[in-house]
Amino acid sequence: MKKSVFTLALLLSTSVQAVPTGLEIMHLVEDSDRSHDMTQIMLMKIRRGDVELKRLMKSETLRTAKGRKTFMQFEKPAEIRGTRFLIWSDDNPDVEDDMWISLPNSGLVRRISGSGKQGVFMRSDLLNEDIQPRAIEDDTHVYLRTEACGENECYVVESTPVRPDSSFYGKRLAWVRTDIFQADRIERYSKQGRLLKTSWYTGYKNYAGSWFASEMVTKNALKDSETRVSYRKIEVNRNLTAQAFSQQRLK
Amino acid sequence: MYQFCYSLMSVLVKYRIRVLLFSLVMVAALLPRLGTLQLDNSNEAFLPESDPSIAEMAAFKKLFGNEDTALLLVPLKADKLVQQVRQLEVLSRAIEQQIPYVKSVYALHNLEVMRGDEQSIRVEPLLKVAGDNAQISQLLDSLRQQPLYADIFINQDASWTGVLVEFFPYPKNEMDPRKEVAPAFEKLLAQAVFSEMELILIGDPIFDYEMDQLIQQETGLLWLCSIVLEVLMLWYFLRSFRLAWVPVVVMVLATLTTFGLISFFGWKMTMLVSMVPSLIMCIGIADSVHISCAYQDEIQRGSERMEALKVGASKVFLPCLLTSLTTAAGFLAFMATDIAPLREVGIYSAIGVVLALVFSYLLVPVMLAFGPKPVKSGRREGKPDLIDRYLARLADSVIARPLRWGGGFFLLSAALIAGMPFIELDTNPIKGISERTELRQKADFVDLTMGGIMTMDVVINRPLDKGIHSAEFIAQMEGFISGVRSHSSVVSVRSLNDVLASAHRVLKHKSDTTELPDSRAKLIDYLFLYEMGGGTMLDQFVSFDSTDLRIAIRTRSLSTRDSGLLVDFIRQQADEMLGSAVPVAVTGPIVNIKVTADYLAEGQKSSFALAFGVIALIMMVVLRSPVLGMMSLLPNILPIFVALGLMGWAGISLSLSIIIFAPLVLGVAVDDTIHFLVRFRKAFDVTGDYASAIRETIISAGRPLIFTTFILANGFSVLAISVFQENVTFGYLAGFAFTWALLADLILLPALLLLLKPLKAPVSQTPVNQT
Repeated sequence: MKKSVFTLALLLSTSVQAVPTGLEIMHLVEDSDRSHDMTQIMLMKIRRGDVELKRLMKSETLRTAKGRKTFMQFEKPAEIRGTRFLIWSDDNPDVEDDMWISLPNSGLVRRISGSGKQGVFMRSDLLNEDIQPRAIEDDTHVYLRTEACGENECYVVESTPVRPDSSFYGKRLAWVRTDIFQADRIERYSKQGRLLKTSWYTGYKNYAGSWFASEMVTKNALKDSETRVSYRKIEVNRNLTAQAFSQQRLK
Repeated sequence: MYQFCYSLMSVLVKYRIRVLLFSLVMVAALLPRLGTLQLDNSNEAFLPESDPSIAEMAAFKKLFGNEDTALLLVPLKADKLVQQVRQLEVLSRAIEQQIPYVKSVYALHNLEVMRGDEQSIRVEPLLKVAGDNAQISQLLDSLRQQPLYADIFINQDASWTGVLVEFFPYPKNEMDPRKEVAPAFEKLLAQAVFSEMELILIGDPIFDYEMDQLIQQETGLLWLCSIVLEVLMLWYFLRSFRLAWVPVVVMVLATLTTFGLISFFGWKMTMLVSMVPSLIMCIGIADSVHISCAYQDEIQRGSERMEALKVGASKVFLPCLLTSLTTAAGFLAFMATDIAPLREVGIYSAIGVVLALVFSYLLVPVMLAFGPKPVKSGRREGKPDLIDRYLARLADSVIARPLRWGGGFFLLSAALIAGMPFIELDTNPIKGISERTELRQKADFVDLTMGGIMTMDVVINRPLDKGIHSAEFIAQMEGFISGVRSHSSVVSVRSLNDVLASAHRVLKHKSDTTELPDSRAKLIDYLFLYEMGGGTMLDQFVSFDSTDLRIAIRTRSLSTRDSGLLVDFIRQQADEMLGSAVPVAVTGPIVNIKVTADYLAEGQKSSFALAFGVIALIMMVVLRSPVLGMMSLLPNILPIFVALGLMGWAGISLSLSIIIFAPLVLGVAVDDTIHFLVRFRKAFDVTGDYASAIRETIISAGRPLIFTTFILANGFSVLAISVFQENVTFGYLAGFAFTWALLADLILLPALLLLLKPLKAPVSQTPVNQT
C-alpha cells in the first residue's frame, strides 16, 4: 500500500516536472513489475568464437515484503541436470543475500553465504551479480538525458555503486523505456570507465499488467563472446507460496 | 667509373653549400620520425610466422585468454600487519582507479576464501575474523599451504605478500595499449603514500616495458660511446681534428637517416636492433676515412685542395663501393633466416651501410672543401714509423718463408677451430642481463623469494566425448602433476586439481586434505559449487568447451637448454601417466625462446651460405679471377671459425645475438681483403712479380688495414658496456675475429699468393691506369 502511494506520487510528480530524477526512474522500474510471483524457463546460449554452450533452467520468483526469493533448477547440460539453488535477496543493501545449493550427485545441500558475486555464471558473459537482483539503494542513480532508443524513447540513467567494493563494475548506464519503465539496454563499465559489456532486452510482453522481456543478449565488448538468454513459458501470479521457496525443496 | 665519380665530385664541390643544406634539410625532415619508433620485444616477434609454436600460442590464447597480470610485492612486518592490510586496501583502490585496463585487484584485504562446516559454505574475506597482528599472521600461515595462493599472496617464509592485478584484454584499435601500464604504475607508486611501502613491481607488461627502456637507453649510450671513441681514434691516427670529426658527423647523419627511414616505413625495432647504430658507426665510417686519407695523400703530392678532393674521392670510389656492397650483402644474407627481427637487422644495417657510402660521398668532400686552408694531417712525411718498419719486416719474412708462415698460421687457426664441437647453443634471457640493472635484480629477487620468475603452460586435450569429467582422468592428472612437481627446476604447479581439492576441503570441512573427488558425479558437483560460490579460476584451467586442461608451472630462471630438458621431462611424464595417445602441448615464453634459438642456429647456416655465395661472386668479378676470388675468401672464413672455436674452448654458449656473428663478420672482414687484393692486382699488373707486388701491397695497404681494423675492433668494444651479456660477448668476439682477419690478410693471403701463384704474369707491363 505504502509503495503504491509512493508510485502514484512519483507518477504525478513526473507529469508536472516532465523529467524524473534517476532515483525516481529506478523506483518506477521496480514498481512497474506488479507481479506477485513468476515462473519461466530460461534457455541460455553462450557463444565464444565458434563454440556454443547451452544451459536450460527453470526459474521461479516470489516477491516478498523484504525482497525476492528465487528458485532455479538446471535441466541442461546433462551432467548438472537436477542441480537446484535458492536465493533469498533482501532490498536492504546491508543485509547479505542467502543462497542454498543442492548437489544431487553428492546428496548434499549447503547454504552459501557471503560474496561470490564476481564469479562467472556458468561460463557465460554474466557474473553472478548480473543475475542476482540489485537493490535500488545499492547505487546512486543520476538521470543523464532522454533519447530515442529504437522506436521508443528512453531515459538514460547512470548508476554508480554506493560502496565501490560491492560491485565489479564502476558504473552502469541503463536506457529505460519511458512507455513501460523497463530496460531497453544496459551498459556495464569497468572502474576506469571502459565499456565491458552491453545487454539488450527485447520482445517485451505484458503479463497481468507487468512487462517481461522475452530475450536478453549480452555482448562482451572486449572479446568475441555473447550470451543469449531466451525467456520462455513465462507465467505470472500463479499464487506461489513461500513454502515453495524453502530449503526443504532442495532435498 | 673514375670519370663518373670525378664529374660527380666536381658538381658536389662546386655547389657545396646547396648540397650541405639539402642533406641537412633531408635529415631534419626525418628527425621527428625518431620519436615514433616502436619497439617489439615480445617472444612471438622472434618466431617465424609459419612456426607451429605460433599456432600453439594462438590456440592457447583462444582457449585460456591472454590477460596480463602484474604483481606488487610488499614486505610484511609482523608488528604492523593490521596497518599494512589497511594500506593494501588504499593501494588496491588507487590501482583500480589509476591504472589503465585493470580488471581486478586482489590482495590480503579482499582475498576471498571458501570455508565450510556441516551445513554451510561461507565465501568470505580471508581476514574477516582477523583482528590483530597475531591472528593475521596465523591466517597467512594457512594461506601458504594452498597452492592456488602460495607464492602469489604469500611467500614461503611469510615475509612478503603480493597484490595481484589482472587486466582486461587490451583493445585492438589502440596503438600498443600494453605499454601504458608500466608508466601509469610508475606515476602511482611515486606518490608519497605508496613510495614508503617499499613495493616491488613485477609482471609481464612491466618487464616488457622495462626491457624496452633498457634497450632504448642502451642504444643511445652505445652510439654515443662509439661516436666519442671514433673521434678519439681518428684524431690520434690522422692527427687532424677536422679529419676526425667530419667522418663522425657524416656517420651520425647517416644513422639518423637510417632510423628515420625505419620509422617512416612503419617497421618496428627489437632488442637486436640496439646494436645497429654502433654497427653503422663502426663499419660505415671506413668509407669516410678512406676518402679523407686519399685526399690527404693528394695534398701531400702537391695537388690543389679542390682537385685533391675530387681526385682522392674518385680514386677510392671503386673499393669503397665494393666494400659497401659486400658488407651490405653480408647483412642482407640475414634475409635467408625465418626470424623476422633478424631479417630486419639485416635490412636496417644494409640500408645503413649504403647510406653511409652515399653520405660519405655527398658530404665528406663538401665539408673538407670549406675553410681558408686545406686540411693537413699531422703525420710525419717521408720517415717510416714503427708500423711501416714492422710491416716491411713482416713482408720480407713472409716472402722468404711463405710455407712456414702460411702453414703456421693455418695450424694455429686449426687448433683454435678444434674447439668448435664444444660450443653449446644456450641462452638465458634473465641471467643474460647485467646484475646492475633493476630488471635483473627484481627477477633474481622473485626467483629466490616468490617462487620463480618463469612460467610454462601444459595443455592436455581430451576428446569432447570423454571430456574432463572423469575421476579416473583427474587421478591420472594428479600423478602427472606430482611427476612434474618432482623436477628440480619446477617451483610450483597449479591446475584444476587444486580447485577440486579446495572444494573437497570445504565440503568435507577438512582443512588439511588434498583428496580429490572419487566419482564423476562428485567432480561435477564440486565444479558447480566452486563456480556458484564465486570461484573465478575455472577459466584459467579449463577451456570453454571443457576439452582442454591447463597446468600452470612456475620455474626458476631457466636457460633454453634447461627449458628443453624440462619440456622433454614433462612429455615423458605425460606419456607415462596419461598415455602416449593424449595430446600434450607445452608452451610459454622460454619454450618460444628455445624454438627461436634453434631457428637462428639453422638460419645462421643459410645466411652464412648466402653471404658466402654473394661475396664470392663479387670478389671473382672484382678481381677478374675465379681462383683469386675464391682464395680471397679463406682469410675471411677462417677468422669466423677461429672465433667460434675460441668460444668452444672458453665455454661461451652460442646465444641469440651471437648467432648473427658469422655472416656479419664475413661481410665486414672481406673489406680489408678487397683493399689488399685490389692493390696487389694493380701492383702485379705493373711488375708481374709476386714477391715485389706483395711487398708493396703489405707496406702500402697494411697501414690503412691496421688502421681500419683497429677502429673497427675498438668500435665494437663499446659493446662491452652493454647490460646484455650477449652483446658484450659479441663485441669481444667480433673484435677478435676482425683482428684475426687482418692477420690472415697480412700473413696467410700473401703466403697463399706466393705458394699458389693464381695469376699469370702480364704480357706487357704498362703503367696501371689509376681507375
